[in-house]
Amino acid sequence: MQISQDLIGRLEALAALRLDAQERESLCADLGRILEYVRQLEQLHADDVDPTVHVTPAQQPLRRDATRGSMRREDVQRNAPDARDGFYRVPRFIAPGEES
Amino acid sequence: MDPATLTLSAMAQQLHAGSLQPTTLVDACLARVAARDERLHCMTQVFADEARVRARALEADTPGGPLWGIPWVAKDILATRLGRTTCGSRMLEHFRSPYDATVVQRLEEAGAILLGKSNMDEFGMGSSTENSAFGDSRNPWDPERVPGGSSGGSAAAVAADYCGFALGTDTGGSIRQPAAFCGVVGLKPTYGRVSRYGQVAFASSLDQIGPITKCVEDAALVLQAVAGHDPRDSTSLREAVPQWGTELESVPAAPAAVRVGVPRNFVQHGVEAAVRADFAHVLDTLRAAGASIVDVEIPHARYAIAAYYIIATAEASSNLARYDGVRYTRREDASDLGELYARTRTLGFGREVKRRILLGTFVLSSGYYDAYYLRAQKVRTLLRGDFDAAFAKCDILAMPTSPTPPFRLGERTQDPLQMYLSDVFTVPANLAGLPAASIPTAVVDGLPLGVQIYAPALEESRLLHAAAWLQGLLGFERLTHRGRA
Repeated sequence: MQISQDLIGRLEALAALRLDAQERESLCADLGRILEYVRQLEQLHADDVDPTVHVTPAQQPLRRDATRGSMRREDVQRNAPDARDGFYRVPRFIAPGEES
Repeated sequence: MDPATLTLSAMAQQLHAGSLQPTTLVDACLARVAARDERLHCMTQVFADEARVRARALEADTPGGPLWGIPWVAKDILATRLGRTTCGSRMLEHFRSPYDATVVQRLEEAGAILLGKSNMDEFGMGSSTENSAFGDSRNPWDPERVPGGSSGGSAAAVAADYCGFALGTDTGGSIRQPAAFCGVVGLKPTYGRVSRYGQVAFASSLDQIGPITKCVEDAALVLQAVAGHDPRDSTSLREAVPQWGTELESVPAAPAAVRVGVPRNFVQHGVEAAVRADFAHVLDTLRAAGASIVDVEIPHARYAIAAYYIIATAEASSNLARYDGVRYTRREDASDLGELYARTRTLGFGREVKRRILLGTFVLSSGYYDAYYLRAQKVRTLLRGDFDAAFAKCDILAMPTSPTPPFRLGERTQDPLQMYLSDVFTVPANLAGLPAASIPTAVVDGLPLGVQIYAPALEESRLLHAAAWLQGLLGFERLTHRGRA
């Protein structure tokens, strides 16, 4: 299967990845070959087969509605590249004046 | 005799008899690491000081259960408060978990001593441990060859006698294939048997944690310690945990009429001559010992690799979306938030991870979902039906673990599809959620080979009994010690 520049560009945008020209070319070739292999699934007659989402019986376990301890925020945020006053800091993505 | 070379069971026996002390054992294991790991590079981190402190603390107390005082190694995908949890990735190079995974906590409570963390393919994606951001691991039997993957560091660490046992994770064969390549035992439990709380997620409908050990009895002891429901993992099963360790103390010399199913059509293709001959020898051995060999069909197994690489990549693309440069240590600064996400992910992930994220994004994208992802999920249903039908005719299934002996470093890195095909005999167990184990069979041209046993869901007892019986018939233990000496 041929992966067009257009398609790989769309996948990069969806996956938040940005490949350079060389990486893009070789990954396009790899993906094309893998999808070619995967195409054998087309031979399968499976119209009336139910999909398996999970191999174990679906369960929605209930628990007592009671407060429990949890991890401390500062312990979790120790891994943040930039956190202050309990918040994660990121570059501004709402222009001034757009806040409300 | 160097106590590091003992099996876990033998270590435990001597620790309980008082003829071996935890501190002596830890020192012996650390000495093996120091002597060999520069060459083999199984470990991402070694907790020498912490392990010695813990051994001394245990020593001041009375011996506990069978894992008391046993040094062990965790695949670096398991969250530990000690050290870092890197997942073999630049993305998590400096990540320190604020909590221990449930399995780590259970082993801690059982008195085991965490010695360090093992190298792995980045996020579990690979079959050779060549996709680690921190360098390749080597096979202790031949350092020019790969230890398998993705739990290659764990399997090699056990084979090189760094520890009593290791934990690995298995999404498509990542415990069993490296176990076979390194001449040790690897067991993937039934999906849901072991809590995955604190296992960094790769493909959530397939991932499972399991033991890598020097013999089958050891695998039973470790599995017993880590298995069982955990309220923090809602996919963990509410099933009682059998006393697998004790059960194996009474393995009958010749169990009555075991029926061993062999999916001949499936195991005929793409299997190298040495593996084919070894597998034939294993079947002869079983037959001679009184087992009946039954031909079975798993007709949809030929679609397993295709289905697996759709489902696993789709789930990975979703699970790895969390690495965005905001919460998990690594960030590439940018003035724009979208740019920050993309730069962090592009520079933080290795090539194979990016390949799989893109593939997973593709199969989930609109217009392709039905043709790929939905179809792959239907293969899972068909495959489960195949296994149900097969297990109506036999007690266990046998097949090679890997179609080839351990391959050379670099041999497959340029051909991802070829690398994926090394999982052909292991992925069906993950797709169907079945327990399966690889046990060593023989050493051919200096390289270990393995055979794999499948059992029905939740039949780990049957799996372990069959594996222990076969281990006895093949007498592999002597070979491993000669090979690893």
